[in-house]
Amino acid sequence: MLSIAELIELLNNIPFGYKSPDDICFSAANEMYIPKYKKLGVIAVANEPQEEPVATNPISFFCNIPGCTLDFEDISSYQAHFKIVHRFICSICRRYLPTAYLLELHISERHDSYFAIRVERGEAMYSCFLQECKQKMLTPQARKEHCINAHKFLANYRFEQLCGRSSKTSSEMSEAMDIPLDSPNVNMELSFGHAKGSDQTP
Amino acid sequence: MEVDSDSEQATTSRSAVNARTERMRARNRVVSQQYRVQHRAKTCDSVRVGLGEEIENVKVVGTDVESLITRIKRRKHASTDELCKLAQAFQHNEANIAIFGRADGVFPVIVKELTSIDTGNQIAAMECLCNLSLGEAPVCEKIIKFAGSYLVTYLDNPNENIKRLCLWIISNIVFTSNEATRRIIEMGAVPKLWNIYVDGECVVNELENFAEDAACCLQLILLNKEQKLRCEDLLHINENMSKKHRATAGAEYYLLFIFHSEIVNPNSDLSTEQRVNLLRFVCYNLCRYDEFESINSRLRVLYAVRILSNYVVCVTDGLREVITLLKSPLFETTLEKIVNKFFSFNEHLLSVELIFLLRHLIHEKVEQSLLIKMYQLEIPIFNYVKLLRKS
Repeated sequence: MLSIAELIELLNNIPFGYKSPDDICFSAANEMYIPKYKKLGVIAVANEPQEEPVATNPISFFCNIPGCTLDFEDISSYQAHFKIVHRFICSICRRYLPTAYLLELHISERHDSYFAIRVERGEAMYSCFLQECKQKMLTPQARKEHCINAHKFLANYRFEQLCGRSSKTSSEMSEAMDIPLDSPNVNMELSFGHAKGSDQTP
Repeated sequence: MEVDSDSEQATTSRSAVNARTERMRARNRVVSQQYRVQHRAKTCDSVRVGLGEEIENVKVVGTDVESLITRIKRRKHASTDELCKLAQAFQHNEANIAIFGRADGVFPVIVKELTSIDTGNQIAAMECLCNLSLGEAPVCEKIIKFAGSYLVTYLDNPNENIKRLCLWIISNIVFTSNEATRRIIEMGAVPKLWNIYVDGECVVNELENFAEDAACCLQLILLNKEQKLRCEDLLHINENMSKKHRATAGAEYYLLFIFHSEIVNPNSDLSTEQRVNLLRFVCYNLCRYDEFESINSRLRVLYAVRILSNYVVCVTDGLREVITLLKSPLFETTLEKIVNKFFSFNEHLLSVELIFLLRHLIHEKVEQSLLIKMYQLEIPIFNYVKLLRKS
């Protein structure tokens, strides 16, 4: 065993103070004790049945989401269907989004009139596509530039079209919806609910 | 009469309720029975396998990658079958990966399938990218360039297979290329990985436990000396560091992450809650592990020693806090006993780290004023001077 005097002499030769993880004194132990990573790919292997499957009642699983009429032979295919098709789906326009956060963005940017009013007022309302980034931008274009510059997202990020109004800004949209009062085709009769369809006369 | 009709109605409604309950019970029984059968008989395993390794019972059919590339480029679409063939070809041979990496206009097709609403195609595209990530740095950089933003997005996807494959692809890529690591950090992967890592406590089964896969990615990112984390990543780790429980999956990596992200440094301003949690984690690792053979205990012990060593230097009265906590009924031990236990492992590199720790515990060099009883220490004799010079 090391004596106290030997220990004190040894300690005197060691510098005192905070040691950064990049310090050379940790290299040998890192090399020795931290497990090495091995790159691995993946192959899908069908499991062989261990025994004959138990005979089950021929009950099919139907999807009970209104408007979906599909039924399934087994629970796992129903679960896969539900997670992909119904988990993050917009109840208004039936669009599918891959995550809860993107669905939230989609609903507020496409279907929330309060959001549209605040955008009109000039508030920065467009959140970054990355949930953990708390920046908000004035326009979808500014958000797109932010995502490309700050987060190196692709210029044609596919979920952008589903979330924000990439093709037209909200002001362009509202302009498009304004009908000039002196237009000869304006039908001043107001109707609520469903339009009558193609049989409307100009 | 009224009473009779009431009781009759009550009986009828009760029997209707019973019948409904019975139907529900019967249905639930069938559901769980089918679930068990399904998981025993029909599932596909995602077997992890290295480049060129052969697996029993799996025949990798020789595939002409070039003709597959031409076909999917022409149609701007790849079927599940084609994606699976590509995945197998990439696993089989690195030359196939190189051919694919050099081809123009084929990555967008894979990305298109990755973002489709067909689960089968999505998973096959993910497997394809996972095997492609077995290639060299240029291929991995191309994967990040075209699919990086989707990989980061899909870390929040509810589908377990997709999420797990995302983590596997990221770990392969981060291991291969510094440039790809830089880009994945910029894409904001670290906060998401940290959230997955600390989320292990509320998972209901092993299938939904991604903490170890996320830990693997974080470990590779943090150990990469070329690439530093962004300030916002460090802030996220700092704010959410107390969420990880010491007994959950992947907890052996926790102190490694805290050490390499330099959460404890001379300028750090840890809250009382953070300090208490961190110290409990450190003391748990110091007291609980009596061997140094498994990777789990090696990581726990080594990093507990390193964190403790920096903690007593950086935090005023840190040593007194540690000693008090160790004496508490939670642990009922002393620092001397712990240090002696680790010295008894006879591991020369661990002993050097313990000497560094002692340097910080005994810095006044006057025995009477110390909180550590030096005469109780049992330090094995190694050539420390040589070991210190080496390190």
